[in-house]
Amino acid sequence: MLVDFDALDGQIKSEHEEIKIRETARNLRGLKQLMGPVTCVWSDYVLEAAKIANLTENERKALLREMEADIRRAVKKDKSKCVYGAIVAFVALKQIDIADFAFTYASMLNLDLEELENQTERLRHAEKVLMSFFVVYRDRPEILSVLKKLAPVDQANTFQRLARRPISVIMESLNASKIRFRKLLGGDSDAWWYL
Amino acid sequence: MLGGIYRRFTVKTAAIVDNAGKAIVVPTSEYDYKIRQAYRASARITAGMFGPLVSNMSKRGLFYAIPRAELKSKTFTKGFDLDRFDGLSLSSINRPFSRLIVSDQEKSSIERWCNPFALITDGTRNLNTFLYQMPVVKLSKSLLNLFHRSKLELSTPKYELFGIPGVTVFLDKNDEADAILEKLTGVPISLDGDGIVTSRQWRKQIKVMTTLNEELDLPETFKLQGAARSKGITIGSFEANRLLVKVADHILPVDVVMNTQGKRKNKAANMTAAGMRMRKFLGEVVDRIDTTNIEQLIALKEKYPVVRGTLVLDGEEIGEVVVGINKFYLDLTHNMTPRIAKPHISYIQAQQVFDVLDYPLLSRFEKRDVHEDLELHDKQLAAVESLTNRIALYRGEEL
Repeated sequence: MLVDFDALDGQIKSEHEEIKIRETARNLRGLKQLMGPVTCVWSDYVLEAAKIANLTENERKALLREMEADIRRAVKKDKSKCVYGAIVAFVALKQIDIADFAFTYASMLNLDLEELENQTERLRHAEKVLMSFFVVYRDRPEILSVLKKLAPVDQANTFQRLARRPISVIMESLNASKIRFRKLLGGDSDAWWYL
Repeated sequence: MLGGIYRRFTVKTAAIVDNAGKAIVVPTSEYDYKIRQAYRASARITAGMFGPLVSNMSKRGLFYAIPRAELKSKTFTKGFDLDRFDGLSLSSINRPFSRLIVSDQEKSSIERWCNPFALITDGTRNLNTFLYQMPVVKLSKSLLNLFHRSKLELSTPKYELFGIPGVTVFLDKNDEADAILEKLTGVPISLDGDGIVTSRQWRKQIKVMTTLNEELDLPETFKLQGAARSKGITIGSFEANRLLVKVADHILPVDVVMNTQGKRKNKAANMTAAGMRMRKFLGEVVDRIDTTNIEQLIALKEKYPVVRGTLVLDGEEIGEVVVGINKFYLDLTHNMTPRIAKPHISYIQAQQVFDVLDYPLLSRFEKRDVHEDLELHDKQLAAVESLTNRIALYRGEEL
């Protein structure tokens, strides 16, 4: 059969029901807006804190998996799933561009954002980030237990702009990342590669 | 060729800034930016046939480009509400809200002019950059006749926006369709990768005009888009007299073969609209479309189901297909010479290279036949080999 007419007619008949143009526009705009701040709170604060924290290999893996999953949710076109890092970036880093998303996700988690802002107002950046993470992950005990073992550290710029650097510099940087990840997971194992 | 295919058009610029928690659009000039060169690059749009239209709209304050340059100051208090603009239709899909067009509907008037079913088409499926990339084309008399006899009537403006018309056959992506394409073109090609196959005679009727009025033939490979981002690269061609389609009492030569768009929500924009054009071409009276009336658009889908036709290959009837007169836009901005920037697993060149190097990753994937014409140049092979060596070095492995 060259064309499945029944399926095609069904799709044509119903396709308009799933179309929400304004929401799509908002999501696509958010795709660019969330990417930076969410990656920043995870990599520049949490990852740095995890490096020096006393965590088991399984705890480190769980944290890295959650970090990757949250960043993935932030870059997906479908913004319906809660991006925890977006709330943290809005509260701790004052990313007002993503206020819409932060409030939407906060309501999904039944969280009062203004109260969180007030509570963390006088803290330092790194403390604000960690404290906000504790609050947003309060209903996810498996992640919360790992986060609670972290101590606030100064921000580190994990991802530098490499686009215009010579390939040798990029290779060096990749090697450095590899070593960092190895240290992070403990030992010389190649566990980081199979995450 | 002495002239260029595209020209540069200057457009007005604006910035999207935050004002008390609300995004506003503020018209800007080059003095508002820290680096003026970056501003100038964004304020000049490279465009073809529809460049004057965009430039004109911008002069009237209906179209703005958003430069990537950094603003000197972000403390603006006055501006237009962002909701007054459509930031998707004419922006690059990879950089939404980079081009804004004033619109009282969810999709801009140009988008609805091009695709009358725009308001019931997926938000991500728009004309996008094809508006600028469409070169100035000169069509044969028969193609122009086909366009004018089949163009859809709208409430405002009177007719849909110009595009290159072609009698189009839509096939599902499956082995049966691929077998037909192989028989038709003599090359093992597939509709799986959203490629488009065209007749040689149809291509010959389209000439690209340069800025010095030279007429150029279309290249062998180029990017083609129907309505609502149903785009693809031309992957093959055939003799028009070999593939015909029977519709009602008429037999028409097929110009274009493309797929039925899988699960994409752009079927009304493609198949219903193409079907309506076909009905009009064959003498049926077709309703005028109010592009802002969603109820009418939904009703039109019911009223005009897809047109079915019988496909005839080399005089033999081979099955029932969806047929219509689709409207196409070209994009000649791409460099189509073979190269591997990122060796994706499903690229046939990548498979060849990995076969040669016995790369272990590929053992998990099914290997496909490779056509001789697609074999890599020695230099490219050497480049990829060096790249693979680097990856191996980085992983600490031996090849």
